[in-house]
Amino acid sequence: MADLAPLTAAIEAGDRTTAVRLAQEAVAAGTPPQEILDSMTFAMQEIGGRFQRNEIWVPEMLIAARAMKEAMAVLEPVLVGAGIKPEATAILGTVKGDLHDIGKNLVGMMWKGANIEVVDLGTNVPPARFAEAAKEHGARLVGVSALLTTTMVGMRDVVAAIRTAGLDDTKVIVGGAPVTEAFAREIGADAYAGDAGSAVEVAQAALRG
Amino acid sequence: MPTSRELVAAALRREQPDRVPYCEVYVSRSFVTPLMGWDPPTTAKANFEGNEFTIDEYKAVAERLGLDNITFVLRAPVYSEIVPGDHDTLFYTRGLIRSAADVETILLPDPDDDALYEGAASFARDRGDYSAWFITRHGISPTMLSMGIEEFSVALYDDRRLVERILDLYVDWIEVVAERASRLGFDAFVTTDDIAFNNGPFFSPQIFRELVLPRFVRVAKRISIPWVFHSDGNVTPLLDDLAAVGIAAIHPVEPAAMDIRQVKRTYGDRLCLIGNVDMNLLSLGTADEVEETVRGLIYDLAPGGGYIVSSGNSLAHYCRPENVLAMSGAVRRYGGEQLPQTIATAPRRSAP
Ligand code: B12
Repeated sequence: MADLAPLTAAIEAGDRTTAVRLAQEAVAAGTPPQEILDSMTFAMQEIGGRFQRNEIWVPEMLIAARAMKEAMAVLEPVLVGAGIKPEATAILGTVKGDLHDIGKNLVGMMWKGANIEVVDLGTNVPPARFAEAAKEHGARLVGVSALLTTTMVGMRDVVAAIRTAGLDDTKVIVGGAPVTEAFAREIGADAYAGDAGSAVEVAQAALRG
Repeated sequence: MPTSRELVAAALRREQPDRVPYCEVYVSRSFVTPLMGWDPPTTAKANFEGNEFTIDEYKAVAERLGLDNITFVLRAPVYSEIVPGDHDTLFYTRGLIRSAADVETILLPDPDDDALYEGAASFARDRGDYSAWFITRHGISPTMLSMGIEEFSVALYDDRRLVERILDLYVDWIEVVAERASRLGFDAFVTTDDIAFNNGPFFSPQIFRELVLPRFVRVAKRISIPWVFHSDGNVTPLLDDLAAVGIAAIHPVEPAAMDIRQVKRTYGDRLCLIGNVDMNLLSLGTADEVEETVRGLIYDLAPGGGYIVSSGNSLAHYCRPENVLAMSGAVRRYGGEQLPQTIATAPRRSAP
């Protein structure tokens, strides 16, 4: 059975060529797909922690996420074959009036890295669209990003749209530079995360509770 | 009473002027239009790279808002797709420079052509008593935006040479522009390159030192007026390097990203600080809250010198007019003679 530590290390280092090769080797060696997956999500969890602690920055996070994505492409058919599914589906988007997307994209990568399926609606997304997509995909998470004070206020409407749609099991998680924990509470969001690393922990906690 | 220009000059030298100055790096036309009683704009404005006001309009705006500075913009073009946002804002989306072949398409205006500086020269000449600020970019943010911030980030690892080639085109240009602008009679040279977000710089201090710092040094050699460095976000990890390059002041010291009182304690003897009045407060708060915040900033940062009041980014279209007026009102109310000369928070080197 393949030793998976080098695969974890290759993803952490953003070395996509090695990550893909090691994923292929692990699959070929008949390593249980869940174990391969765990070694990969572990790498992304580690990356999230380092990002949170300012030990790595946006570029290192992006190349790690790219290595993860490419290695994941190798693993995906095997996961499907073994009936291993993503833990949940998340809808993600930047609120109406706002076009900032880098933070949202990083959160999306980290969620994918934690085996959460992400449906990215892009930027400038009207509240109703979040609700429609959540319904359509049976999403248990809705992630909303806002970078402007003015558009941040529009997050309230997203929360309202989800609630009015009767999506009682769907948790709304908000984030973005001007957003605070207090604001998230005030608008009735279920959770807030200040960075892409803690976004994973917060999402997992929301799925549990 | 000294002129606005003299007040700002003293603060930039980290001296204590007779009154704490109030300056902005960017004032949105949409924001001032109702205040000035102007007709609403009929066309979308290129607010990133252009001048939104004539000099006479700008002076009228400065008078109305109690500003001590006026700004003139001359920037190299950014090679990015642009989509219109709300309120005449424009937004860079997809970068257009992805490959060595794309680099050949970058065409910057000839920096040795006198015609390029005609508008700037007459602006500086007609500035009156205001402090005239020349607004441009160093080159790192046009590089990031022309590549796309994510593509730029990945290229730092995949193709550093490509990043350097693009960056050098911009830096070669700004070296000439810096030298020319310094001689036109401006009072400050302002670079607006956003290289950070709330948690810290986009890229590591190590990459900053390898890629950006040597090119800051090149530009610093050409600037003979005070250099005001603007970057959004938390640039605390870069401040030692920035101070060493000879940067006079940093703006806007965003409150969500940086602790300005801590920065004052550590760098108050090397850097003038400009800004820190929260954008959330200016757009959602009350005039009383703004006044209280500005009073606190003035009392904690201005004694001994080296502080200029400014928003935590710009006067964006969504700021409340009464809050902005409360900000400049507080400068007049608390920033004048009643301000103590001694510093409560920042230890200063004693005069030799
Ligand atoms: C890069 C940038 C831009 C780029 C955007 C490029 C792009 N494709 O996104 C450009 C230059 C185009 C731009 C334009 C504008 N910008 Co801008 N921009 C920034 C800047 C410098 C960094 C934002 C960023 O990308 N950060 C990097 C990522 C990784 O960080 P992040 O977005 O914060 O995301 C992290 C967390 O917040 C969190 N997070 C984010 N989203 C989510 C979502 C969920 C669900 C969760 C859990 C977590 C989470 O996790 C992320 C990763 O850790 C910020 C400064 C700042 N302090 O943030 C200003 C800033 C956001 N911009 C600002 C402004 C004013 C504008 C403009 C209006 C300027 C103008 N006059 O036109 C326009 C906006 C037009 C529009 N309609 O949207 C202001 C907003 C002020 C305010 N409070 O309202 C800021 C804060 C600058 C400042 N000094 O005040 N901008």
